[in-house]
Amino acid sequence: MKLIPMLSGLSILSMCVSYGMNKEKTRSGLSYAFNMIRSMAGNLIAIMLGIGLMLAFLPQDLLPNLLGGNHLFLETIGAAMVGCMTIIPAFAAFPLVSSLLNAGGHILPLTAFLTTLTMVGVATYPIESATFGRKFTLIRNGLSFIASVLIALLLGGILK
Amino acid sequence: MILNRKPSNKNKQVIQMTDTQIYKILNNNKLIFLMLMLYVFTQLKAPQIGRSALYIAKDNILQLVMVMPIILALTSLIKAWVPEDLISKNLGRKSGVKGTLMAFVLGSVSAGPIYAAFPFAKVLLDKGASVRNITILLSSWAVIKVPMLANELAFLGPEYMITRWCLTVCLIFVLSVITEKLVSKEDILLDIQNREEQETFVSSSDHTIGPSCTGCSVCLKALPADYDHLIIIENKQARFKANTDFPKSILDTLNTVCPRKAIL
Repeated sequence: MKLIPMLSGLSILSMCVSYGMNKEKTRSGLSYAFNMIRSMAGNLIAIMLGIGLMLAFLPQDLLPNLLGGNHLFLETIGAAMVGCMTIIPAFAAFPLVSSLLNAGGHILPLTAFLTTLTMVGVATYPIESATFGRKFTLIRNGLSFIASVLIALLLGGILK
Repeated sequence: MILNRKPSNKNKQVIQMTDTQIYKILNNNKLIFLMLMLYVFTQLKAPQIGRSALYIAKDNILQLVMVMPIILALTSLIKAWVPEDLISKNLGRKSGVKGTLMAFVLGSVSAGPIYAAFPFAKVLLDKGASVRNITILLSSWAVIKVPMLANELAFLGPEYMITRWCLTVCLIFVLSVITEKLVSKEDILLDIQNREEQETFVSSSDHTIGPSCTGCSVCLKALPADYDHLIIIENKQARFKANTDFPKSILDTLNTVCPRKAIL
């Protein structure tokens, strides 16, 4: 995978250009980004450690049986529902999904999980309905759930 | 009580730990301390499992560290160069394709959590943005963050990332059209009006923000525009403005968003 080093180089370069164009703006942007990452870092590492522990403890054949694609549609719906209720930062979700894939999970349910995780907000429901009312919130989240399952199914079809 | 961080005594910074500080450090990092304890325990009871757990965790952490520079750069560039009022200028009118496009772009380049989007999107709605564009803004704010794409690329590969991105954009569009058919702007306004009539008020003197606060300012972002002076942050500690009445729903919101659960 040479893409990541390449993009890293590009990022550093664009930061330098940005700094050359406007020192103040770049500095305040950088400090915002730095604070954001620092405030997440502890929990992020803890979640990574937790994922490791969980995967090491689970019996080897549990995941392939549970999310391996034997009952693809049911698994996708189930994973989508778990995604709605899980509260982990999206940052930690990608390593989790990639670990679960390696451990024998199927791409369809895992994609559904990944999408509902960010798009459907059960935890943020009180805030959203206080701002936009119950009807809008229920409809937006309900449709997002259906969209997440569709995204997973279509992605499975395309990447076959 | 508070760590002295004046630049003048940076070299000879004497850190005197008080009980509250130790509590604060423990409380702020409790998840990681819990994990470390679990690891030590596993290492003692089942070294085999402990080792493979550590191996998986190390892989993931390393990969995350590798993408950090990209995420850092993208976030800071967006924060530095995307003007904040770009938004309200282009969504406010009866905007056709341009408005839709803008809603997508805005959602994707925004830095910040989804609950920061709610008060902001509400202002746009009041200024005349359509339900469709608001739906697009909220959904793309939640799912297609540009810095997050770098993360997805690193862990799941370019093919997966691009396919999922395209599908997500298409489906958000479809979803927003359906939402606009089902919910009118009047529905939203009526819903909120009903809510406001039932609203109870609480006083800021009955509530405090505990010492586990780190001054992360997440709560400030979640405050609606009429109450944006309710919380003041000084020396990495937030506090309520004295003797102010505010709706109880704001308190609930703050409780949900505060990562340290410091609102008491």
